[in-house]
Amino acid sequence: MKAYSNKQRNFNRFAICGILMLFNFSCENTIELEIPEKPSKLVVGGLFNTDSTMVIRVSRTEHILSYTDLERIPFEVNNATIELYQNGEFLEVLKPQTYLDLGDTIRKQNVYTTNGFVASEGNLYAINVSAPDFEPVEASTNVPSKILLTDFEVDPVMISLPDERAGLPAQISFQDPPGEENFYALEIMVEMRGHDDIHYTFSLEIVSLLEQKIGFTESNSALSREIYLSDASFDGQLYTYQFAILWYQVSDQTTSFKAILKHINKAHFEYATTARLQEAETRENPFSLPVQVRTNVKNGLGIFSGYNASFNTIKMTN
Amino acid sequence: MKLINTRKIIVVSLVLLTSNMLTAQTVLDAPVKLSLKEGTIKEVLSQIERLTDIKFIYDNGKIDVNQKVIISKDSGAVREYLDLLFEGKMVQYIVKNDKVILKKKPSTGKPSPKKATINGYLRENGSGENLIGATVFDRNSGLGSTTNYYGYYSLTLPVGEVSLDYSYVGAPKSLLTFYLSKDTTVNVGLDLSTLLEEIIISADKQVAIQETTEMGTINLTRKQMQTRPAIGGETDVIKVLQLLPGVQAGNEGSAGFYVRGGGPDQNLILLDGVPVYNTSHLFGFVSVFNSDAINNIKLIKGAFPARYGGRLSSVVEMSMKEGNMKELRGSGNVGLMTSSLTLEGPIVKDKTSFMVSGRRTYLDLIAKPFTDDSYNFFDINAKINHRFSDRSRVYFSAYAGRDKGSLLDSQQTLESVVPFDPIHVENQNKSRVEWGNSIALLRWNYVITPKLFSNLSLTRSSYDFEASDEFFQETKNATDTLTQFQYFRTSSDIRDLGVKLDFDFFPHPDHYVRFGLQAIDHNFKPNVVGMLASERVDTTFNTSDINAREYSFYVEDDFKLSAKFQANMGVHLSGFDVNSKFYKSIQPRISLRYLLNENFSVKASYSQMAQFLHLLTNPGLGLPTDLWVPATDKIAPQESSQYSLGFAYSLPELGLEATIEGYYKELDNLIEYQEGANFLRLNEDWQDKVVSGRGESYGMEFFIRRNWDKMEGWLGYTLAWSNRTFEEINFGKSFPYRYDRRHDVNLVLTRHLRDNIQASANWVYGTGIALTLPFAEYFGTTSLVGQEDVAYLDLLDFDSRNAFRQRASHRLDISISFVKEKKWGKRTWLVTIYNAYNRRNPLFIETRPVQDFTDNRLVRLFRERTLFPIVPSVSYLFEF
Repeated sequence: MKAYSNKQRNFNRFAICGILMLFNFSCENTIELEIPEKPSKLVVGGLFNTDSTMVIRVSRTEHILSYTDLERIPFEVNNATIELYQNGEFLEVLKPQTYLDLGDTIRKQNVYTTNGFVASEGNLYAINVSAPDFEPVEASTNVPSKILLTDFEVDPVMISLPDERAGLPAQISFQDPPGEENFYALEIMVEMRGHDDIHYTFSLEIVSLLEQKIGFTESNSALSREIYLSDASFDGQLYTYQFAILWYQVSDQTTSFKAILKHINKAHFEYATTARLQEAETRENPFSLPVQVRTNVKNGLGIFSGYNASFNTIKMTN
Repeated sequence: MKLINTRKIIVVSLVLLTSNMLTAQTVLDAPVKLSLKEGTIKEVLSQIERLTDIKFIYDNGKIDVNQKVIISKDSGAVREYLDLLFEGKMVQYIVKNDKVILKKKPSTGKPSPKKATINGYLRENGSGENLIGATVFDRNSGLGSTTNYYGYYSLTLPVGEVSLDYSYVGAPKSLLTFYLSKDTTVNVGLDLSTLLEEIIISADKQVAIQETTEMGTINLTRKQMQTRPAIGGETDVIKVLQLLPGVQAGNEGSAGFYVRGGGPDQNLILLDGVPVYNTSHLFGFVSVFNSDAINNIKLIKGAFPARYGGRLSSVVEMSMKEGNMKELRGSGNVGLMTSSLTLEGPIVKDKTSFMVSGRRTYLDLIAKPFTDDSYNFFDINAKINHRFSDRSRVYFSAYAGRDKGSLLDSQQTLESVVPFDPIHVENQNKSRVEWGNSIALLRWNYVITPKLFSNLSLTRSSYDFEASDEFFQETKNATDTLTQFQYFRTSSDIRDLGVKLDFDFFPHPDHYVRFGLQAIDHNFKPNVVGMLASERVDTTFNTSDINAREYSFYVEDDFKLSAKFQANMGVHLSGFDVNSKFYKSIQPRISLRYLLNENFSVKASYSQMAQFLHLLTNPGLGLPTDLWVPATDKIAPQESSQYSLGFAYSLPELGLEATIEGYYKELDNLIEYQEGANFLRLNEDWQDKVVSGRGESYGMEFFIRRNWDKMEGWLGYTLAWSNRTFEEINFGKSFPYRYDRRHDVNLVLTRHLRDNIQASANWVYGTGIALTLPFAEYFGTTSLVGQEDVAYLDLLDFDSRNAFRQRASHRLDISISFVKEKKWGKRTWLVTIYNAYNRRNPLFIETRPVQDFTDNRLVRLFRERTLFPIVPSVSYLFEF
């Protein structure tokens, strides 16, 4: 059975082919574009919670025509100074720290962390970031309240999804606070027991069962492992969100699923959703409209925002 | 003595007086027999002088003796002839011996209170076609009028002698003199045999540009379109419009156009008064208007009269040929891409005529030997008109055009999963797309009174788009056969049914009042997606139609406040009923003209417009996937206000006219796809993919045109800015509109090398299109707890929407035509070179990262697509 998404893709292929029929007459030039050099900006990566010390990455923008060295952590700024304020009062200067990133290739990462300080709900946090040759940037945020997960269920019976992939249906429930704008991020982690009896945990790719969209398969990026929700349609309600865990990520070695519901700020929501849209839609499609990623960093880019997470775990019994 | 002398004087005087009277009596009563049957008054007087002893004395400046007259009498007294020559002309005859002094009778100083109306139609003698915008001018009173869209005029004048000049550009003036005593119908035919040989562009057909209240209004003739160089020799109405100031072309070679910073949906394109929704064939590179079938085009960019409504930025009014009332005529062309044939002629001579015109491309026939893929388009225009009487006339017009394309992909594979049991798999994939417009119109002109002309129109206009994808798979092994079939289809559709009643009222020569009302029933199917599969039930999405009704009423008056000051004022009221929501709009329109001197005027205008339809369009290409959608309860109608100020100057003796106009336009409730929206995702609700915002555009347009000796042409220059502001796009900051072109230059020249050879050239220049390209890359982060490689989120910094500029576009097109009269008619060879100096104008730029494996580095490549290099072509045109 040909996948439904394939049909859509065929149609899109047709549409693009139709257009490109004309372009068969056309010529393609690889051109030297004179894209003006703009001063590089500081980029802040600071999404923190109330459970651990604050970790902030500082990097820079790089001109679009420059080379990216894949051996190095890209564009890190290692000589930045980050001042942290709580409710307007200076707390500390974050200290640089290096650790090994165990991704596809082992690389050093340089980050800035607090000296054991953990943010707490109800406070306003601000940072001033400066580095030689860069315009200083600043950002502020609060930490939203904790929203408890009241329910988390995973149905072990596989279903066929609208895009004809296979998945396990699941749902979470939580009580949305009334009378205010709230935003959430949902992450599902799985714990698996390896052949060496070592347990591994990682985030799963999940898809919504509520949206009746037919479209391109979402890119398998980090962003597709979080689902972002706005309470615009369920303000103040006990809300149940249905989703599916893609089947290919689950095996008989799975020992547990863990749902993490993050109560996030609007700035975080906008940053994540626009980043996801940019990654999914505008990379190599000349007919898609470009997406600018939102930021709450003044004079710079990136995100500095607190969130509050609650957890619920289901143990699998084979 | 004194008394005697007095008596002598009285007696002598009486004798002399009597003698004079007797002489006068004798001279004027002298019989004369004229051989002249027709000629000027001067010729008649000369013949009388030769046949008698009478000498006529008159002042040439006061007595018009060059008027032609027909002598209906063979013989009679001199006085009878004089009465005939000067009937109603207020001329008195004073006899001095054998001399007759002809003198204007002194005026009483009071205009005659009694008036009468002259009305009728102006038509071309050869074909009987109505002449739009021709003028009627009375030399005696200095009053005049112009013909309306149907060639009708009405002029109310004081009872007495009238001398009417009927004129139309390119035709010799026709003078008619008669005594007006009551309402009179005069239908006039003008000989335009010379008109069609000329290239004419004018800010107004006959009224000098400085005299009219119109601003930003340009008329084009069919002949002008046919001789312009065009790609593949495909003469194109829309591409000629693109050569005018304030009108910008879209992408290289495309037939889309953008007027004063407005979008492509903001152009009201009327074919015989009926809106045409999709103006493009061949994915936007050829317009749907077959220039063989089009008679006139009028473009209005600003100072919109109240009778127009429903779009924000321009009105393009095209009239199809009506059909020759006298004889069967034909014309056509054979080009590299298309061929066309037009036939017209009488069904009942001078009463009923027809016109039918067809055009088809043969791209599919050329490609057939090489590929199974296919593409073609065609157009058919037809018109019938019938005159019941001078007061009543009916027209039926129709147009249909369609594009069809298909792609076929077949594959046969042999798979051998199990040894000695091969599986044959045959896949066939057929994709198909087609789209088209159709319009139909029934119109009834009726002259209710000589001062009141009416037109009733019933209209239908539709546009539909459909694309489908068929997949068939057959899997066979030695024992079994499994077949699968899937069909995916998407379509969109818009259909209008309308009724319109217009009145032209001519209460006084200084007033031209128009009023009317219209109702349109719109039906939209913005997006219907369906699928059928051998293993699943049929599925259909987004099937709900949107029905809406649009109403409008207008009234306008073009009137003279003084000899120097003229105004056109009016109001357009409209309403739109959709999804239980009623939008209403009051749109005032005003245009003022003040004559600074005979050749020079200053003009100003204000127009408020509303548009209840939106076009969801992709950012660059005129694709049939563009969706026409209505304002809804969620999406408000578009609105605009435009202010213009300009000067108009003409010097007829040098064939020179020039205008300069500045404008400022505000646009509101514009819609645009939201960031990241993919227009190819046809199955999603369009209302979820758009955002609403504002726009502004301002600029200056300069236009100078001159006809001299054997050369003619014009230069247009536009300096313009156009910006958009959407809360959800570009962080809410204003950004340049994609077609924000700072400079646009059009130079158009035609040279008559010999009587039968004509060369033409266009040179166009435009600032590059505004683009959004990434300026920088950076890395983002996520809040994932269970993912380590969070730092490697590769993001692009676009800095600002449309902050980058493509290279400027410029191009020279040239053509030369060789005309030869044949026994059967006339043929023309048209040789065209498009893009003569092979400029590689940019179409679009795409970007993507490419990994350099040798250095394990990423490098970003920008690739530019260019479309048309130098394209020579030859076309054969014929007329019989």
